[in-house]
Amino acid sequence: MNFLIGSQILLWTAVLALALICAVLARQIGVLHERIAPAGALTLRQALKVGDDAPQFALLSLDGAAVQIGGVRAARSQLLLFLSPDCAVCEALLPSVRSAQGAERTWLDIILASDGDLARHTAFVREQGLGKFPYVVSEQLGRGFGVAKLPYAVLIDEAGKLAAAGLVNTREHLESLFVAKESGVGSIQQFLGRREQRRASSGE
Amino acid sequence: MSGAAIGGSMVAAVARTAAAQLAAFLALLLIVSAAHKVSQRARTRRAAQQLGGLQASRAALLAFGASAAEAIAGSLLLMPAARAAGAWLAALIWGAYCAALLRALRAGRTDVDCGCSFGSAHRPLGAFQWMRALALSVLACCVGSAAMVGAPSASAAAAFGARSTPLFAGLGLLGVYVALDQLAGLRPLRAGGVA
Repeated sequence: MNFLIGSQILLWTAVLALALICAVLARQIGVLHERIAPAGALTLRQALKVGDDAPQFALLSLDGAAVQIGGVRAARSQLLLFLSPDCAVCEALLPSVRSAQGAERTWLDIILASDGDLARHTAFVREQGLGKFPYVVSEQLGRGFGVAKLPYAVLIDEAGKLAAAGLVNTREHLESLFVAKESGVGSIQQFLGRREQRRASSGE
Repeated sequence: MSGAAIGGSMVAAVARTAAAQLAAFLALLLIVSAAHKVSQRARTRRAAQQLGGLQASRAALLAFGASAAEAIAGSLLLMPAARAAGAWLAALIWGAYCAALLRALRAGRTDVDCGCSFGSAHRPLGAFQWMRALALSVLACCVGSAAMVGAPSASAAAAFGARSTPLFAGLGLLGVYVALDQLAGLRPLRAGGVA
C-alpha cells in the first residue's frame, strides 16, 4: 500500500513539474510575441489615404480574362500585389502569397500586378506557377495607387475603399495588412497608440 | 466475497479517491483565484464592472464578494465534512460567471477583459472562456454529488492513498490548469501553412 501511495505522489509531482515547464514555455512564447510584434507593412508617402475610395480600373489579365479593380464588391476584398520578375524579394514572397490565398480565400481575392514587357511576365507566371492568380500588366494601375517600390501591396475592402497599403517584404508585413483591415487601424503608430492606451487603462 | 463485489468496491473506492483529488484541485484553484483577485483589485473591479454592467462602487462590492465567496468555497472543499457545501457553492460561482460571460458575448462585447486568466495576456472574449467556466461548474457538481453519496471509508481511503495523495493531485492538476491558461492566452497566429 505504501508503494501505491508513494508512486501516486511521485506521479502527481511529475505531472506538476511537467505542467510548470509547459507553463513557463508558453509564457516565454507570449513574451516573444509581445517583443516581436508589431511587424507592420511600411506605409510610404502616398496620395491615397486609408478610407479613401480606391481608383477603379477595368483591365485584362495575361490570360485574357476581364479583371475589375476597385468598386463595391459583395463581401469580398481585393489585394493588389505589385511585383516584378526582376525583384528577388518579390520572388521570395510568393510562397507566402500562395499560402495567404488559401488561408484567406473566404473573403479575399489576390491579384498580381506589374508593368513592362508582356512576354517576360508570361514567362515569369509560367516559371513561378502563378497561373491561378489573375495577373495584370498596367502602368496606369501602379501610378493610380502611387507605387514607388516593390513588392508593394494594396488592400481594397468590400466597399471599394483603401483598407491598408504598404511595402511588403515578409509574410508578417502581408498579414499586417489583413490585421489592419480587421482591426480598423490605419497605421502602425495608431496601433501602438491604442496598445499603450489599453495597457495604461489595465494598469499593467 | 465474489469477484464482481470486489470489482464494484474497487470502482467505488477509485471514484471516491478521484473525487477527493478533484475536490483538492478545485479548492486550490478557488483559493489561488481569490488571492489573485485580491492582488489585482483594479483589474478585478474593472472586470466586474464590464461583465456585470455595474457602477464603480457596486462593481467593487461585487469583486470583493466574488473573492470572498471563492475563498470560502475553496476552504470548505478542503474539509471532507463540508466538501459538498463547498462544491455546490463553487458550482454556483462558476455557473454565474459562465452566465455573465455568455451575456457579454451575446452583446458582442468581445473586447471585455474577463479577468479570468492569471497572466496579463489579453485574448478576445470567446467560446473558450465560457466553456471553461461551464466545465469547472460541472466538475464542481460532480464533486458535490460524490460527496453527498458518502464519505470515504477508512479502509478504502487507506487502500488508495486517499488521505495523502489529494494535495499532490490537486497541485498537479492546478499546474496543468495554469499551463493551459498560459497557452490559451497566446495570441493566435493567422491560418495558413509555413511558407
